[in-house]
Amino acid sequence: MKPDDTLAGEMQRRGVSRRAFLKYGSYIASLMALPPSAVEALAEGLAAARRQSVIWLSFQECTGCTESLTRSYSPTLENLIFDFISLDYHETLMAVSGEAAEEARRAAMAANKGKYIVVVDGSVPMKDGGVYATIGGKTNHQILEDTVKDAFAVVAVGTCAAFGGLPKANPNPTGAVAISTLVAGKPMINISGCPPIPEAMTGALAYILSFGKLPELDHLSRPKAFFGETIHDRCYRRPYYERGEFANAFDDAGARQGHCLFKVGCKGPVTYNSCATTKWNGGVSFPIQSGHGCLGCSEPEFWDQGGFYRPLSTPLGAMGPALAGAALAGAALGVGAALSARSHQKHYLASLDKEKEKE
Amino acid sequence: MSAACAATETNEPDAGLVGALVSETLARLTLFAETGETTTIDLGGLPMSNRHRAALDDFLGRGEVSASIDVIGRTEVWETQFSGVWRVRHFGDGAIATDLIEIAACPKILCADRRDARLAARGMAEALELNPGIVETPHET
Amino acid sequence: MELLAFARGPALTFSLAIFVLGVVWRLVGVLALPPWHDYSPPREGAPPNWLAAIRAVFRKMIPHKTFLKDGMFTTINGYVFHFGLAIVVFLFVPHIVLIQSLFGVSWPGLPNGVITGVGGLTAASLLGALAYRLTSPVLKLISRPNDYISWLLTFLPVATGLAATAHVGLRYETMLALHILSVCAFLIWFPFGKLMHAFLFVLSRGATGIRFGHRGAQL
Ligand code: SF4
Ligand code: SF4
Repeated sequence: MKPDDTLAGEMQRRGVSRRAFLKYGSYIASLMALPPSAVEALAEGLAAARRQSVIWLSFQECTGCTESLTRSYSPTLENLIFDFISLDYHETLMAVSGEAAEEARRAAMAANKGKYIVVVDGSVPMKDGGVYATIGGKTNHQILEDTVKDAFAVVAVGTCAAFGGLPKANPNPTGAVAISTLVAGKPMINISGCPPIPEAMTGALAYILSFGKLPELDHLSRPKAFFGETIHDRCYRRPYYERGEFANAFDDAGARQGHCLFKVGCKGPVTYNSCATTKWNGGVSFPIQSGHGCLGCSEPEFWDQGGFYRPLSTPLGAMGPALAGAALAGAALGVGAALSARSHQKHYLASLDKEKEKE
Repeated sequence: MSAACAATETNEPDAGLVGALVSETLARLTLFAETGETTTIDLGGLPMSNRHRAALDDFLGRGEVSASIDVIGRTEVWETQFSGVWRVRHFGDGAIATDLIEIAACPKILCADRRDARLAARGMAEALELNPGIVETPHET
Repeated sequence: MELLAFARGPALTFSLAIFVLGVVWRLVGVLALPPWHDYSPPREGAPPNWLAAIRAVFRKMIPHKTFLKDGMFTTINGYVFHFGLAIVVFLFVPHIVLIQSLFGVSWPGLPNGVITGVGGLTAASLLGALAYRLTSPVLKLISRPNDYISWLLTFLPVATGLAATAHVGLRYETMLALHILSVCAFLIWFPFGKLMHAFLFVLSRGATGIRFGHRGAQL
């Protein structure tokens, strides 16, 4: 008899019952705020799925995204996803290197043509022919095109891959671009964040595995389940914001009483992410709960919003010189206008006098 | 519940959350009693603090059944003092991963799946084949 | 966030600069005009110029009793949206934070619920003012594009601000960007249209007061 190669079969061989899928289904449905009725569909879909081949490409990045996703202490619910995927290529995690690693990538691509998922972290440098990041003599751009060609879907993990991130920040010396600009025509998901919330990536992958399609996405291709609401919408400090109670500095009485962090630069109102509900480190806390405003890390160009501590309702750049210059110019124009009025008046009076003389 | 049921206490104001949850549970329990329709209420995503959770569980109390399941981590299941209302709590990396109120004759996660049973039957048959005398053993003198 | 960055960045810088330039230009231009001399002797018992000016500024805040009844709606409605605007603009905390970033001064604000309520009232009052302008036979005749543009550019920031807080219409960050851009349009128009009355009303009332007072006329 052919061994059952579904995920359920694999789990059964390890002595784990289908309860595991039910439990995992509840977990994912809860994470993604799917209706409880979706739990069984998720569980059944996952149980019937085959191990998903994943090829992970790392470009201009700091490996923080991989850190975020793989940091886990024991084989539990949260990282069960790694039993459901087959990570066929990941430079940081794979044992082999060099030509053997590249061979593994090619083999996985050939064996799973049209079915593998490409996960990318990091942005791609395009300036000067892409020479700023190469692997084995190939530019990031070449590797991406080559790998994505036969993929089923592309998942850009982290803000660098999703929107360009730090490499693309002003003045963008390498001409870095987001992955989405290079993979036209492929189903594509952005899991932004610096780093992204691991549950967002897990949830999106589990959803694809169970349902064979992408979850619902927002206009920036982010799963709505995790990026559908702003931090501010779900922030527990919101009542303070509404009452007008703010921390003016990180060490004042307001800060100690847990008041809203808007005045010290919180970007929660314009940042779509699920930190406030999913939280970090297995639900321990999230930045605002730890006393620091949201940096806006899951939004495009968050590095270039004028500074992390500059309140959202203030201008991006320094206004002093522009305003001083404008005031000076205005004063000059005003004085000029008045002088011209005065000379006009003088001439007029003089002409009156002249007329009087004539008479 | 997402990994969200954070352990950290935050001093959010009580918005009558527990009361609302209990009314919802009552409505669904009534429906179940009348029609047999089962439902699950996911406490995930609700802004629940530990205080809210404790208040809810205080109200629901403990009934006749409680079980612990060991599958990819721990899961605790108990019937509340209100028959048909169950609490199902899945644990992940030490923290609560999913927290549910299930209104049913029996929570799904407790029931064995027939496909698992089919495999189990095969396993049992094999075990029996390997050791045909085992069933009689206790009766032999 | 790109539109928001544009609004908070170049758009706000440019429009604030135009605002400051225009306001200073017009104020300096008016104040540096040759002083006005009335060579006739003042009426007996005429108040000194400064007193006449100040009196006029305040007396004109309530219409003359002859017009009180007919002008009731415009007077009360005018007060409602002027005070409403002042409260919304100067007592909403994010606005105070903006002013503080520009001029370094700040003061306590009001809770958001109050601001939203006042904002709604202000918007309704502005709509009432427009309706009156469009229906009153006299006002209709003397209204110019300047009046309508000034009205629109006052109304838009209120409307977009309310929409942003109430989460209606577009996504919050887009609404916020539109709110800031509408304020930019307001700032650019301000010095050159009738909105400039916010500064000039004191000068014009004062000047009228001096002239009237000199001749012993009551305002
Ligand atoms: S701390 Fe930030 S996200 Fe929370 S209420 Fe204040 S502004 Fe909003
Ligand atoms: S709170 Fe904001 S900046 Fe911090 S991780 Fe979440 S989205 Fe990123």
